[in-house]
Amino acid sequence: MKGFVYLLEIAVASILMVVVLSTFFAIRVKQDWDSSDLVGVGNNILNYIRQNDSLFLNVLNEDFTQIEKIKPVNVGYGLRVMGSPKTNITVGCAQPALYDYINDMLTDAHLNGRSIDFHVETFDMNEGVPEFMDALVLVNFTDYSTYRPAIESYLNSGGIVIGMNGTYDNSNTDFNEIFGLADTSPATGTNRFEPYNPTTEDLELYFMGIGFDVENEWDIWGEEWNVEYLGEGINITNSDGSAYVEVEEGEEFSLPGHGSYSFKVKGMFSDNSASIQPLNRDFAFDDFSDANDVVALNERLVGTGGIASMTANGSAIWISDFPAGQEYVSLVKSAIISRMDNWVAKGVYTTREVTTVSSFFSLCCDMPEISELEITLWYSI
Amino acid sequence: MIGQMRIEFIVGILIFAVVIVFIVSQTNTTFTNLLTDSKADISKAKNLNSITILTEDVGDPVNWESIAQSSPENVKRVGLAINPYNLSVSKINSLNLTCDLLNNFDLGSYRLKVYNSTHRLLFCGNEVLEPPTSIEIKYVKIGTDYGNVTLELW
Repeated sequence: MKGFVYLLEIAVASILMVVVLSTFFAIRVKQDWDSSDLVGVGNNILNYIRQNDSLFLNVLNEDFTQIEKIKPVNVGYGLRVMGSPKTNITVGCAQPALYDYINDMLTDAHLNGRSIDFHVETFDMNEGVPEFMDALVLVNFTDYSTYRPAIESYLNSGGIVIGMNGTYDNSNTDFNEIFGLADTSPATGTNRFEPYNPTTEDLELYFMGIGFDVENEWDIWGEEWNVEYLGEGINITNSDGSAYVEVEEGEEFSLPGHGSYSFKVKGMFSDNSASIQPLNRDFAFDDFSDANDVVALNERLVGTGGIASMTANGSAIWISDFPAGQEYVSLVKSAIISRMDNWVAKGVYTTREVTTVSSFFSLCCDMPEISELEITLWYSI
Repeated sequence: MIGQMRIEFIVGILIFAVVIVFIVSQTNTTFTNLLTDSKADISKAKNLNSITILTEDVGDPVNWESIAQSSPENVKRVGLAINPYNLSVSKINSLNLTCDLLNNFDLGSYRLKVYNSTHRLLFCGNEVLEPPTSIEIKYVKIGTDYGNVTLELW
């Protein structure tokens, strides 16, 4: 019996030694390089893109061919852009009868060496607003009460709603609450942008940046100007030919009769069109069709005195119905673009551990445009 | 019964011997693995450091490529960049002729290759076929073209 106890003691001691020593032997010093490798890959991709503006513009155009070529095959990635609008914007039209009006209005905008294209698509509002649509444009829409849940659901999912309406029906609670409006007494005056504050609102920045895209006619401040292309410049003439200005690409000019406002021909294109940029931050808008009888409960974008002609309630933007004129069209385009500059270019679809790297990029020269590109990486295999 | 060992003593000795053998073998395995892991980590760190200098630094002196063949002793540090990730073709060509300048990196056994989109522009180091301890690839701009730099260490 005594010998058996010895054996038992020896066995227990041996087991304890093996267990303790196994723990010791299991210690490894090898570093986990996964995260730092992914940071390295991310930095390399971002620095590679930095070598050429066109590579960054490809990202804005959701063309990831170059990134696919240089990233390791076992690495997945997602991309988010903060500060630059995407170059292909899908706009929803819930009013088929107004498709042509919206489509004709949303021509390509030119900004910092690239074209921002709007694609207008019709859809049935009864089925809700499709999430793939970047923005929804409603023109003199009268069914806000019926479709308020669908509109708010779309806004909550990150969508943009542009409401182009007269406010003569601004007793409509749903309409007012969606856009953050309240009734007030009518007033008159020159409509201008609110004092420029790019930290909170960059609509004016984009308005000045994209300017006006003109072909053979330029309609501004209620006047029609004929535009003639002369090789390296353009000749802008009023309707009866009594006043004109001849200007080359890149030059600044003023329209006869509007000497206090300056413009610049920022680009001429092979299809006989040009992009003209306003240079005054106090740019004036003639009276809107039915303006100046509402105040903004959240943010007033354009107005006179305390009265609003254009407001923002987050991504719900109201603009008063307006007469023909490219300044208003540019306002609508700028409104969409200004709400489109923080977006996911490529989604992160993984449950694995991810590493995020970001870097800043700048584009010029129509307006200062600084953008942060964030790349999220993970091992897919 | 003198001269006879008790059975428990014999079993105890056996167990003790087994434990000793286990400890010795495990110690040997563990320290071999530690050494291997440590070497791999050092190689990886050295590789990352070297390829970062090569692709992001201009070198010292800045125009080292012009003196690389005539007075290599005055080249303090080799860097291939004009600015980070934008490499100079003349520096790549110069290093291709003076691979010994990479000795300052203390890389041991290595292989450095630079490719543009169509050709290999630089090859320095060993033509060995063994799998490397560490390999790093950086994608870069080279002149008006694009390419990559690969550094393998053994």
